[in-house]
Amino acid sequence: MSARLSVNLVSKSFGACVIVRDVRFAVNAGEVVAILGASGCGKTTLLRIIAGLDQDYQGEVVIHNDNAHRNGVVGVVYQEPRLMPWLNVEENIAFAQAAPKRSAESGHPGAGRDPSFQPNSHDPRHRESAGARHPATALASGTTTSDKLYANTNPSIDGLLQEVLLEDARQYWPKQLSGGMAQRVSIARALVREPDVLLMDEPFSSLDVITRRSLYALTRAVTARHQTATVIVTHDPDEAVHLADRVLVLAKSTNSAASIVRDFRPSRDAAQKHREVEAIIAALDNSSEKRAA
Amino acid sequence: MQTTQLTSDRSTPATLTFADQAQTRSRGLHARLGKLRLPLGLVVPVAVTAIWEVASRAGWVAPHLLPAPSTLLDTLVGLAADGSLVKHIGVSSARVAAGFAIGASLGLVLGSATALNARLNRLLDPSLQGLRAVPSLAWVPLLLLWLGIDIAPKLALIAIGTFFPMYLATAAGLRDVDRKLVEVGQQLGLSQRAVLLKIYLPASLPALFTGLRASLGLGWMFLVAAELIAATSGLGYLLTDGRETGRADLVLVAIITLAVLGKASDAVLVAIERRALLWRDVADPQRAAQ
Repeated sequence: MSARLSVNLVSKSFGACVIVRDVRFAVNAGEVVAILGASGCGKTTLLRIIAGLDQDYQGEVVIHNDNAHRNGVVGVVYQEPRLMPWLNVEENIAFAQAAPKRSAESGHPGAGRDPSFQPNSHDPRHRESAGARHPATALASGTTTSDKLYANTNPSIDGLLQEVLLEDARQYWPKQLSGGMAQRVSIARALVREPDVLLMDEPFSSLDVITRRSLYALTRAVTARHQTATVIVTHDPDEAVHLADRVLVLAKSTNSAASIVRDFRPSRDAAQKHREVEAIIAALDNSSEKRAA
Repeated sequence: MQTTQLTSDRSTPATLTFADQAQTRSRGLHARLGKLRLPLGLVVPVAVTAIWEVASRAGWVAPHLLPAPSTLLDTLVGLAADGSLVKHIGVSSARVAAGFAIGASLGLVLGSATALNARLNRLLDPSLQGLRAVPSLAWVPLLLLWLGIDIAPKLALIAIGTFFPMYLATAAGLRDVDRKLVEVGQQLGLSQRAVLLKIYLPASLPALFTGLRASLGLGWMFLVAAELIAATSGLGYLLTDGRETGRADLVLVAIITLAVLGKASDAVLVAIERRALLWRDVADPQRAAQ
């Protein structure tokens, strides 16, 4: 079985400064992968590349799906819920549902209907075409016929509201929601388009530990049900080992560019999980000391 | 039963109960005061009118300079009875409405254009800011020369006055839209047009309403400037007529009518704004100050 999401040797630099170097991993449908790293190590940069929000990088991001009629769809849950404050809960989800089902989230015009659609294959030789992949230019094209054809394949908003336990809050304004509720709306908004890939950028970092634990369970349930390839970026080792099937540790090496230094499957055993958390913290600490030296 | 549990746990149950009762009473008082909020705004005008009436009747002020409120009421009833007040109000309101529609629409369009397009901003904004610095009355002679003394110069003057607040508010509102919300739309693959209509427009609504209110307020101001100079009808004309015939009562009636019309038109906008911006998550400074 080929992976739903493949990230092949992705590197990103700002001028002469390399932020991430040769990152390579794959995520299967239904799998949750955590990218764990200290603040400022390039986790969010990597996520923005996969989301298609950053088009200027080297390497390749490939989304495979089995539906010959649509491109790879990426759903994003941001660090803050980013709900439209003028829309109520239901309308916020409908807002995403109404968006074109073309993978313009990666701004990939001309990707056609290839089931093994390659959002980006950045070759320095094709610099002139790289500009055309920028979201701002990709935005110009509107809804296509295939969007309308496949608009009905979306899961119902009612069903999603039930899944995220918000049936009774459908008419609430975002200002009336708690942090946890708002983030659940944000999850429903990402899922309403039946994404092939679900990206979560430190989605629970501002929540209390109880809410966070309940959202881990919810996230596991919905990603299993919707069979999304899920990538969750976090700086919290505890979150990574509790939420993910696989943990990739992203850390800066001596040349200051970040790359994946560990790739492991967390244990199911709670005591073992605790030891893993401690080991990660020690490893991250060690790598930052090395850099300082 | 929770209350019983609570009070038995405390050493001074009686105090707590009293405090609770006092709080309930004070909430009731607040609720009643809340209902009285509308008439509270009338206290100052009513008090001033009463003192003014007493001062006039007692002969403390010259009646030809400051006629008594009762005289003004007679004048108002007279103007209303012969239909001239309705005519003046109608003419002035129509002028403000038309000038405001032109000026505010242009402000909205040019404000959006300069906020959304850097090149247009560099091209137009410096000139528009320069024009904004010209005192409003400086336009009058030029408009009279160019457009005569009919309706055109009046509408042009009101449009100039209402343009700038709307232009500034629109540009500022669009520039203040949260980048993170725009990014959500872009990630969803919305077209540029959809991002503008579904994110930029609603997100800048609070600023647009502020612009509309400031703009309409200036509309009434520029109306008077326009009608003072060359008009045969309208509230500005009533002001000039009163001055030329030495009738302070006419001048005061026109001023009061302008105050009422300005306040009423603003109240309409405020009511629409409240309905449209129910979603806004803002602090209530009055509650904070209490």
